[in-house]
Amino acid sequence: MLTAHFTFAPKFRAVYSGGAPLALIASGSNSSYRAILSLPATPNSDGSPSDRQLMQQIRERQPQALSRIYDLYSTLVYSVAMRVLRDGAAAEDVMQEVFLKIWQQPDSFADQRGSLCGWLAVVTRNRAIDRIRGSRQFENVDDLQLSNKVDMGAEAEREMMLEKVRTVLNTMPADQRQAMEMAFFEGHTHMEIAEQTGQPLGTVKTRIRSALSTIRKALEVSA
Amino acid sequence: MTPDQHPGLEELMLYCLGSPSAAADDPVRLHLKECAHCNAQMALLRGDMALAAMAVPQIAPPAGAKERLFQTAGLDLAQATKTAKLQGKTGNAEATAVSSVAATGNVIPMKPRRVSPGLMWGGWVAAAACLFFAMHLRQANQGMRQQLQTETAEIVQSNNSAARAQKVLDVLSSPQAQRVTLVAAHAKPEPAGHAVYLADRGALVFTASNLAPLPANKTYELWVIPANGTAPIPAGTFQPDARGMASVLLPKLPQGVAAKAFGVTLENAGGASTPTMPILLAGG
Repeated sequence: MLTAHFTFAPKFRAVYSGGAPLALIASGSNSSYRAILSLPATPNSDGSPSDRQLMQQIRERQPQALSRIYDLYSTLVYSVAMRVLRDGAAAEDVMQEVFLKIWQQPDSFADQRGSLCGWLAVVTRNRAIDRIRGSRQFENVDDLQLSNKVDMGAEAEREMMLEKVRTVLNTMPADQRQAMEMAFFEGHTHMEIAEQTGQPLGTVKTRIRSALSTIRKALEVSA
Repeated sequence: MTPDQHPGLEELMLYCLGSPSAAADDPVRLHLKECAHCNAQMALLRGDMALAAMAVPQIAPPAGAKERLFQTAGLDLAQATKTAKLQGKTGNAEATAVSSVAATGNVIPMKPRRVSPGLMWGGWVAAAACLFFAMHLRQANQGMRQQLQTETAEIVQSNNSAARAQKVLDVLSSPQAQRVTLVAAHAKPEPAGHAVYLADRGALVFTASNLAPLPANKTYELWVIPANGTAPIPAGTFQPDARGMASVLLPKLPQGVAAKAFGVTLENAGGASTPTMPILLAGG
């Protein structure tokens, strides 16, 4: 099922090609938006269950679905946690917390909120930042939605896009990258970054925005 | 903030990054509950951040982490793994059915088809071989390009040298060249010869001026007199033009013969193998 989460755009264009996931492009008068798609309901091309099918199986309390999701995404989840926490035991704790949340509260991830791997990456990052801060700041914002032009459920396409993102991150100006990493992976507020780097607050915000914009533009070119 | 007053992109970014506040009464949070437009913007921002997170260097979780997870969740990992493998091969419905049967204990275990490790590794080996071959080709290509550049530079340099040498030869050997021998003022011009000799290359350039016209069936012949006392070496015959000018350019001579002197004799047409006295011009 295809679900778009905004209804005010005057034009919709749906694209479907063979067994590939649907794409929906909507455009308004001033801006264009990328649609938030449901996960594909059909199995993957190798016959294995899709993320959506796995999540449905988890709702039906089938442990093999959790095993499968762990096999697919534990490296990603652990890597993100390690990047933030830089501590193996703490990273495993966060990883357990994330996968337990999937098992115990599968509805916290709704299919139409974007790709499962993207959701896992952001939730893991948020959980790890919470752990650094000793807070539960993000606990109530896991009902987040993500949007990407890329079909993040397709491994080949995902890897290609991630390689592009890595290239962009490695080639972007050092001050942009530093600001984004301090905000995203170290959980610093913009004010803290400004104090630590000695840069004006406005400059810090601009650098973070530019870094995200650079990533998005690189993906839009290749999408 | 109302649904009509959208937060700026930086505020959304701030909220998305989780700073400074994600409290329930946060104005951005309240606005997002009402505004589809800003929710779409937030989804885009989170999508970008997800990519940034997913691009981190990949680290495999520690061994035993999966067992600990399943233990914490109170699940049977062995059964889940077995069913998941089967499900990966046979599809959802079939696997679900098998899983249900397995729960009753009446399952007849099916041996899942396995991909031969040889086939799996074969693909990686082939890919690695292709990569190695491509790198080798690239290196070879770079080496050949450098060699081509070097050789092209050498060719250009050689061409320039050859062009200059050709100009020198053209001036020395052209019948149209004006040849003038300068002597003391009011002195009567005398026959004279000028030899330039490179012993190690056996290269000789000789010019003469004010030579007397030759009798019929006669020729002038140039000689190199070796410093080691061996017999004179013939260095070519020549005939003066109407103004008494003549030249011998790069006659065929052995290399490495140091010259004590040079001489010119009058010989029969066709030249001689030994000089005939008298020596008309000599220098050394």
